Amino acid sequence: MTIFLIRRCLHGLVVLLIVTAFVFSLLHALPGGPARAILGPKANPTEIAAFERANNLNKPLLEQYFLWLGRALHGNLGQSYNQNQSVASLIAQRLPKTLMLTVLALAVSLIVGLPVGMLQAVRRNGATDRVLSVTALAAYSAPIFLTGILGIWLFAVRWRVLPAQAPQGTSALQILADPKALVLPVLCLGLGSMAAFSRYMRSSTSENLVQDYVRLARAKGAGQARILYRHVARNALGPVATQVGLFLPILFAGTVITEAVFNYPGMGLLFWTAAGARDYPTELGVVLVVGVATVVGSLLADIAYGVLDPRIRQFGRES
Amino acid sequence: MTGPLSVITGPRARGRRRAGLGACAIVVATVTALAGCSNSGTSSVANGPAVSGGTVTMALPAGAPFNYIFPFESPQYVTGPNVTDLQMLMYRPLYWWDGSPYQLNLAKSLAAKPVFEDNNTTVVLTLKKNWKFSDGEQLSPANIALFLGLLLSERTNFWFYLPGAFPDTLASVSYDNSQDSVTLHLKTSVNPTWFMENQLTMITPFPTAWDLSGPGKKSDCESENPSVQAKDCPAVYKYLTAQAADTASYATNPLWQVVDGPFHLTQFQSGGWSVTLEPNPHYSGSPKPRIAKLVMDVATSDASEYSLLQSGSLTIGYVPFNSAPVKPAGSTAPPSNPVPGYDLQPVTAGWSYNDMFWNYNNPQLGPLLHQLYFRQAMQSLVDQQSDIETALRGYGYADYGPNPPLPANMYETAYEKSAPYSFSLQRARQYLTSNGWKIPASGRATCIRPGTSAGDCGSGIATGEQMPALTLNYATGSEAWTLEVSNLQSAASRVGIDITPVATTSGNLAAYFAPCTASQSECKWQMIYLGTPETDFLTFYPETGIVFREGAVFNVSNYLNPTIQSLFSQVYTQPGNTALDTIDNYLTKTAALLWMPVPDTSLYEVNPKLKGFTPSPILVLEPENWYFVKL
Repeated sequence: MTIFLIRRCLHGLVVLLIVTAFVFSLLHALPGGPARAILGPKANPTEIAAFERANNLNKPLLEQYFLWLGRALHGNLGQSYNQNQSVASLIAQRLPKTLMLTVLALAVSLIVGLPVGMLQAVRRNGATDRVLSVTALAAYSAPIFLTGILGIWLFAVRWRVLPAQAPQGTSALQILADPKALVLPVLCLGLGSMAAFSRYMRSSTSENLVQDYVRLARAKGAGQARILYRHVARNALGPVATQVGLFLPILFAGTVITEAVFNYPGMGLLFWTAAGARDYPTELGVVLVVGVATVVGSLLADIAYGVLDPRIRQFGRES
Repeated sequence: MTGPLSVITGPRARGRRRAGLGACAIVVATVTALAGCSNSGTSSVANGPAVSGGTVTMALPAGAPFNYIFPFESPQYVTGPNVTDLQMLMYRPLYWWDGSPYQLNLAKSLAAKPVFEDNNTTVVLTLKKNWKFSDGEQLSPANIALFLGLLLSERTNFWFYLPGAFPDTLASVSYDNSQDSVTLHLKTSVNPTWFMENQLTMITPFPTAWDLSGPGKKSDCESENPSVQAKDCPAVYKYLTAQAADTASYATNPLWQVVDGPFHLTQFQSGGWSVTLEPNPHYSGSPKPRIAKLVMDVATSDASEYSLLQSGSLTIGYVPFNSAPVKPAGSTAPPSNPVPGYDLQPVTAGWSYNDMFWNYNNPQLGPLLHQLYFRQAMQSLVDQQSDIETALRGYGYADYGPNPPLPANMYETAYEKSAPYSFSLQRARQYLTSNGWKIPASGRATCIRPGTSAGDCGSGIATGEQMPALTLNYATGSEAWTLEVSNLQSAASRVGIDITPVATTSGNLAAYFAPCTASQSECKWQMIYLGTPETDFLTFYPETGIVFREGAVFNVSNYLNPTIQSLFSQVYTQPGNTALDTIDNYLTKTAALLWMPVPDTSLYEVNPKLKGFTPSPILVLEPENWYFVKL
């Protein structure tokens, strides 16, 4: 397992290098440099030259990348072009907020999605299954901006039972201190993944319910609840666990819209505004953080899969 | 002079901020409409007794948080929130202008009206004797000296500076402490109105507490001796900009607490997405602030801001135009109040004009653009009334020249007001056919009479040559801009002009904004529409040299006209508005750029308990005028 983890970490590093190099070249391939985007169309050539000098934009592309990489390895992600803050401090301000939102959305979608999926599998092709399938399909298809705005309109504007914006505190404690304000953004962000997890769980549980070990358990007199929770759930969770890690970047992408709709300046919105302003250091900083999150998420999924399924651990030992 | 801020912070910038998130606003509008919640107006007209105190929570335009406090920033940090909503509330400029009506407000200014002497080569600024900074320092020439010292040594780091303008025009400065006056000796005679409205507006007296080159290290940038200033000011600039780079300390750094404006900063939260200001108890001006606290929140999107407004969380908010009911022509407000329980403010016109750029040096379009009849035909194809009604949903006004048509002002000439090229397909067709072009039933027009005589197609256009297919790059993010260019495309197609609109992000459009020659690849662009207008911000004299002077930084259209060039020098040096009026009439008559309708500024909603709020056409905030009433 240790060798497996080391190997996965090394793979992760390579992935991060490739991703950052790719994004770096993609950013610089865009027509029009950041100088005019930041300084405005009325900037004069002297101002543009000074800006490019100050930000190393006058150097060859490869040199710029290695300069950025060298600084990043020392923990320095550079200075935002237009936000008058270091990228590290911007990320430090925003990351906890987005993490909080993402983790809560993930937790809610798992807590709701997994039992719903199991229920559907147990009542496969029945009325409950059909209703829940249609509901899941609708939830999965609904774009976040639509559910967000509808949620605000109903719960904040029409009935005034929930706030229209997410908590405005900066620390995790401040955010959690306003749980009512978290309801709408967390539900809107988690709705799609909740539906997806329920579908995965339904499918995975259905497959397991017809396996020999279930028939054997039944033959041995095990009750339905015991079969489901002691035997089927554990086996069915394996494939779902791998999806959890992969859903982290999807949820992050969702935060871009969620944060815009619920007035919650986090990482998603930071990336969005940086992209619009050609703020390369900030974009690269966010890409790096998201890249690390994806690699770590994928690693955690592998570990979770191993924990949940003894066959994987056994295979690891044998190999 | 139109400063860079006019692009960065004016409606043009707001449009850009709205751009990416415009979809959300559209959805708000759609959902609102579907739900039938556009209630009739319920704005209150009640007035009770005024009370002191209370917190005003105001939403600023979405997406642009505060990020700079030192009122001497480079173009990188020039935004509306930074300059007008934060810095100017704490650090007062020497001269204060009212937007409605547009005039110098001497009561809020820190000096008497400037006196121009010696054939307008000398300007005497006499400071108010009773104006103090919050640390007790009396306003004196030293405060002006500190600003001028920094400007002289760091002019290229100041957003307002344009090469060849102030302080390049400054020969020397003399200070008279006994008279509290500062005399600017200029190299040449100036037009007093232009100098007053477009050059002196950049001066902000700085407290001498800022004259430091390090923590507690007193410097002498405030010296009256230019050589001492040249030696000391760079270090002071370095120190102050370093302090300004630490946004987390804005509310606690003692430097920034020395203010002479009506407010001081008490909280700077969430990286500038929310700031709180409280009254400066030592404010020398009048009126004194009556509210206890001003919280300015920058929402992440227009949709988010509008949700907050609808849920009653704001004292002052704005309705995105896409979410507002269509406004009938001639009315100052929509027919119903979109946010019940709030007072809807009248729609405000900005100090702006709007245009579509075209490239005189483009190899294909250039030869046509140099023909007056083609520009006249194009201008006749812009149906401004239709654009206002359909694209801008009533929130805009027509513009036929380079002066702000509204609010009513002395600069817009009678000729501009006469709308010389109002929409007419017939006239557009006539301009082309009477100048050698044959317009088929469909497709592009063809030149049948080449040559340079009257009635011919003109220089550089051969016989049988088809009108080139034109590409119009326009900024993404607003349905209004798409509709405006579609309207133009549709009208043009009916007179043999083929225009293809291409939606382009504003970041990419900015890449085109560099003067070019026909042979350069940068000159491939033909027409550009930004959608948001040019707003004269802190440069109230509406000369347009930055757009039309040869070699000017924003002469992206590569406009070149010797007559106009000589008139511009008169604008800066001769008293009166004659040269300006001549330029304006000429640019209007010759359709130098394609004049487009100007969108209004914001549509504000105010809690009925708050009085004194007036939307400003020149985008300044005056919360010292606000107060709550008991209802």
